[in-house]
Amino acid sequence: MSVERSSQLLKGVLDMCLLAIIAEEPSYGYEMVRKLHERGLSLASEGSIYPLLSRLQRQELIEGYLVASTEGPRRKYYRILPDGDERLATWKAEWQELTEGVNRVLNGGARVDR
Amino acid sequence: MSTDRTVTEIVADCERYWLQTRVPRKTADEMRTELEQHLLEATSEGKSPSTVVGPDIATFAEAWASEQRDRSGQLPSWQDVKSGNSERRRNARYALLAYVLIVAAITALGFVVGKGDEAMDFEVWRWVWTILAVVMLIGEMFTAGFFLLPFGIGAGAAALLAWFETGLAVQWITFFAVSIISLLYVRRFVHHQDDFEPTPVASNRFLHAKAIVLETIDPHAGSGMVRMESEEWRATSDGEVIEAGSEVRVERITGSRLVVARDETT
Repeated sequence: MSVERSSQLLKGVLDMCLLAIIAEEPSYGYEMVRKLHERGLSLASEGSIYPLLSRLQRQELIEGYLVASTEGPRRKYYRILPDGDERLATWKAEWQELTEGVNRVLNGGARVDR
Repeated sequence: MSTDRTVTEIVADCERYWLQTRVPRKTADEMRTELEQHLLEATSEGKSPSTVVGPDIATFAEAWASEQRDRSGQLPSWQDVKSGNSERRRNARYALLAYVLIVAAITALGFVVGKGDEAMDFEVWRWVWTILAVVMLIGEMFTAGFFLLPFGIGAGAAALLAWFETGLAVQWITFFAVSIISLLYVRRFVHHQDDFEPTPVASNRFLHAKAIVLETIDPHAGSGMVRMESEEWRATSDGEVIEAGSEVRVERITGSRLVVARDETT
């Protein structure tokens, strides 16, 4: 897949990925980028995650808190809030449905009504 | 260390932009801490700070800030903040307000003092105003900024009324009104003086100039190098991949990179 297309597709789901990472354990920005890259999303641009984290915070899905560091400035960690857990479950279900639909279209299958 | 300086510069530029575009100070402080920590961690792993902020630092700073503002309205651009234009405009507004308050205070004081002194007749006020006008106009010739000229014009108008034996209150009100109106009129010229473009310095001297691509410009990969006259510069584009050997034109400068576009004139 071309770099540009991958970036566009990722742009639409990056907030969901960040929420999923934070749901696993509280993380700070750079750590999240590293985790995204480790899991194959190397195109996640570092500059794009902070606006998304701010948005998730404004929507009260996550909250940030500062932790003193022995090296360098304090780190801002993010942890998930109850509304964030709910939203992540909804997003996961929607993503599942979307990818199944896309796969069926790409592979020529028919929809199975449940 | 040059990397530390670059991190510091980026953080300082972003923070200045956030504060001047109405991001609350507390939030900007937190964002600064977060960005600084991220850049330091990235550089300690061998990444360049520009990889973190992307090819266009203005877009990076704005994307982050836009999530933090509660109010809408016109905001200064990144270039405005970088060049200090927005700060100059804000200072000019404060200076205008201070000027109006000073003139109002002088008017009120002069009116009260003059009113209490019934002995001062029109003859005296004629000379007070005339001398004040002359002193202000001469003073204006030796100072910069058109600060005294409006006072001089106001005093001249009041002197004229004194010659026609108009009441003292009217003289002072005229002094106040004419001084303020003159000030607003004179400021237009001061503003026009500021409109002249400063001589470009540093990398700005390359704005709108032609360059040759030495290394293919790929904003997604963060690569790209051009040659300007005898100097080589890192370059990026607004999304377009531009092959080595192409002729390009410099659109703007972000940080230490030239943002270029294909030169359609060739």
